[in-house]
Formats: sequence, C-alpha cells, structure tokens
Amino acid sequence: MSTQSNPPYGPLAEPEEEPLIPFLKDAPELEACQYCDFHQSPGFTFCASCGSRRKELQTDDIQIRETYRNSLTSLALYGVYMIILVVLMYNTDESFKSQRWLSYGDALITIGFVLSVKGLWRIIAPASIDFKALFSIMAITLVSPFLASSMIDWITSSINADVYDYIFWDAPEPLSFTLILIAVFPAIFEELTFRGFVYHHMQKISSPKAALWVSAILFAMVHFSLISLFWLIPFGLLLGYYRQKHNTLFYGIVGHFMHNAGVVLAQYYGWY
Amino acid sequence: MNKSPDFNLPHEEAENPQAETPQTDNTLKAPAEENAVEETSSEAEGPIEAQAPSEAEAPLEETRAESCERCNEDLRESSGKFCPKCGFPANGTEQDQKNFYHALKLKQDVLDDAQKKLKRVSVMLYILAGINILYGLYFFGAGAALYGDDAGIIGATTIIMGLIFIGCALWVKKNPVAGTVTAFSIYALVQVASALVEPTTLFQGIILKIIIVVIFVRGIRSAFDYREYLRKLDEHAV
Repeated sequence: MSTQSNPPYGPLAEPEEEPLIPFLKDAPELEACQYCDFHQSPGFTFCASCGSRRKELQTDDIQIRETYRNSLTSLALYGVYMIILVVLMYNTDESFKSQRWLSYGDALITIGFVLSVKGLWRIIAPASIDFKALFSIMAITLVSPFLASSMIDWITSSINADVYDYIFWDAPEPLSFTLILIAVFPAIFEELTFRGFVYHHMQKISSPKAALWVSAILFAMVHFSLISLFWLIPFGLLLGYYRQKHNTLFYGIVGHFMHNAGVVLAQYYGWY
Repeated sequence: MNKSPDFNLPHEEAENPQAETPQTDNTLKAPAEENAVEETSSEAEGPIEAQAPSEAEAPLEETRAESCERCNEDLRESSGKFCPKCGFPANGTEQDQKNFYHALKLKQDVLDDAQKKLKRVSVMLYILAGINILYGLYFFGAGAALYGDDAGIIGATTIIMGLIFIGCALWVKKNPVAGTVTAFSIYALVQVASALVEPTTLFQGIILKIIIVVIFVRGIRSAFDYREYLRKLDEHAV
C-alpha cells in the first residue's frame, strides 16, 4: 500500500500504481494485435482472435514490392543506356580520340548510376585490406591474361579470324593511353556497373547467387565477343565471388585491372 | 513447381453442409451479397469483422481444437479461434473455415496464373533456342556455300545463342526472376547486335518481336507474383 503521506492542503498525492493481480508481474509479455488489440504470445503470424496477418509482415510485403519495382526500373534504365552505348560504340571509329571521349562519357554516366544507389560507393574500398584476398586475386590475374590470350589466339587462328588489336597506335603514348582506356577505365567502371550496380539490384530482386550469375553473364554478353564468352563468364564469376565474399569492389577492380593490363602488355610486347 | 493443394474441407467431400444446416436470416444471402462477403475475406490480411454467430456459424465442435489441423501448431494455450501460425480458423465456424479456404484458393489462383505465364516464357525460350540451333546448323550445311568463311562463325554464334536460351529456360523454372531477366537482357542484346550489323533486321518479324517482348515483360511481373504468393501460401502451411 502507499507509503506517501498526504499534504495538509491541496490535492491528495497519487497513490503508487501497483498491479491489481500481483502474480501478473511475472507473466510472459504478450503482444497485441494491431487490428483488434487482442493480446497473445509474441511472434504470431496471424492474430488468434481476428485472423489478420501481422501488420509488420504486410508492411514488409509493400517494401519488398517497392524495392522490386525500383530495382527493375533501375536495371531497365541501365539496359536502355547500355543499348545507346553499344550503338555509339559501333558507330564510333576506333581512333584514340573518339574512344577517349566515349570512355569519359561512359565513366560519368556510370558514376551517375552508382550514385543513384544509396551507399553503393562505400563498397568501392574495403574497411581494411585482406592481404590474403589481394594476393590471391593478383596471383590469378597474373596468369589469366596469358591463358585467355593464348586461348583466343588458338581459336582465332583455327577459324581464320583476326585477333582484335587493343593498342591505340594513334595515341601520343600508345602503351600508356591504351593502359588507361583498356585497363584502368574498364577495371573501375565495369566493376562499378556489373559487380556494383547490376549485382546490387539483382540481389535485391532475387538472391546473391543469382546476382553473381546474372552479373557475370551480362558482363560477358556486353563484350559482344563469342570467343571471349568462354573465359569472360568464369572471369566475371571470379570477380563476383570476391565482391560477394568481401563485400567490396576493391579486389575486383585490382584483378580486372591486372588482367586487362596483362592482355595489353602481352599484345604490345608480343608475348604470346 | 508446387503441387496444387487440396482445398476441399474434409466434410465437404462427403456431404453438402448447406443441405443439412438449417438456414437462418443471417445465412440467407443473395448471391451478390455472398460474393461480397467472400471478397472481403479473400484478402485474408485485414481484420475480419466479428459477426453474431448463427446456428450455421456455430463452432464445428463443442470442444476446442488442441492443435491446428493444417500445421499441427499447439493451440491449447490459445484462446482465439485462429491458428497464430497459419491463420486457419481451427476454433472458428464452418463459415470461417470456408472463407479461409476461399482466400487460399484465390491466392493459389494468382500463383497458378504466374506459373502459367512463366511456363509461357520457358516455352518461348525453347522455341527461340530451337530456331537458333536450326539456323546455326543451316550455316554449317547449305549456308556454308553462300556465306563462305563467315558461315562457321555465324553458325557457331547462333548455335551457342540457342544453347544459352535453353539454359535460360531451365533457369526460369529454378529461379524465375533471375532466369527471365537474364533471358530478356540477352534477347535484347542479340536484337541490338543484329540491328547494328544489318539495320533492316530490326523490323523483320516486328509483330513477333513485340509478342516476345510482351511475354518477357509479363514473365518478369509474374516472377515476382510467383515468389510473393508462394511465400504467402507457405505461411498458410500449404
């Protein structure tokens, strides 16, 4: 009972609240239905009294639907941009001057797409570098250019096709500028696109595993090279694996750069 | 794909409850009114309005169910009429249970429709694959004389595209969203590539191409419905 004494004048002091039934203090906490206020064991999916589905689940459904719609719209917009880029690339001559402007434009638009996803830029660099992962991707991509180049060389010679010349011989410094346009730019912006933007949205609408595969397949397809398809899909899967495992694009960018740089150097110096 | 569940109430199979149950004022409804009640309950997500129990709506059994007959959830501690796990009105009236099964049926219908549209995507991909493979083989046969050295490359590309479409068709069954999005992207890229090499190909078979795009777009929407309603039915222990 209340121990408070009442003042001589003025309103009476409020008595301390005590549970009407003292043993209810120890009763397990119940959860109320947000529709009918029926109290029941927590964690229910359907209200035992009115049968309504839990309100949070319905809110989750709305959010999932919204995310799905937004991600699909973003992917569709990127698809339209990709088509425009492909058309532009096809109609642009292969001179260094033209390709340079195309790369700059693509870089800017890719940054725009990446910035449209809140917080995506944060995964570019890891919080701390995992040197084991870094050395492993470097070791793989030190060998992969030679394997890929030899394979392409073998296939193209067997079907009497021409090997694509990556070097911008018309650039002031052919090797340096080719490395910038073929190794640095794609390493950063293709990773941002496929392992960043596409992966993020596919993960939202499907699953991480599906995101890994879809990003690798689309990465391979947009290179428009049947011969390269055989190693571009495994390469995309490898880069996607690093992105998935370490939740950063850093190792992918390093690996992609090393691979492309290796292909350019091998072609420039005629190592295969 | 999932097997359709059996929505018949156990006692419905043996007898018609309407024939035995005497109809009172509450149960006598015009068909339109009856549909309205069913539509409200079909959402199965909002609160179900409490109704005065009539003779027809009296609980099925006098004693309370100890466990849910659909999901086996222990209901001994529950004082409500619905199972908190699957939403089945285990201690509800016959009408409540009918409403529950009707709501399930509607959800299953959406799921079936989504499955049908996804199947259409799969079938279309198999057809596209077949056309590509046959076309590719043509380049290795009769077309080789016409196209010379390029015939091998064109033939190989088309056959590989056909195989990729088969892969996508199989993927649509396993992961509808990823499979349909990938297949659609590849199809669009192939069309763009063909149009770049030969612009007139863009308008060749334009009606067919529009139909294909429509099937893909519907497939992508259905892929989401499929996932959502599969989850919802799973909550109802279907």
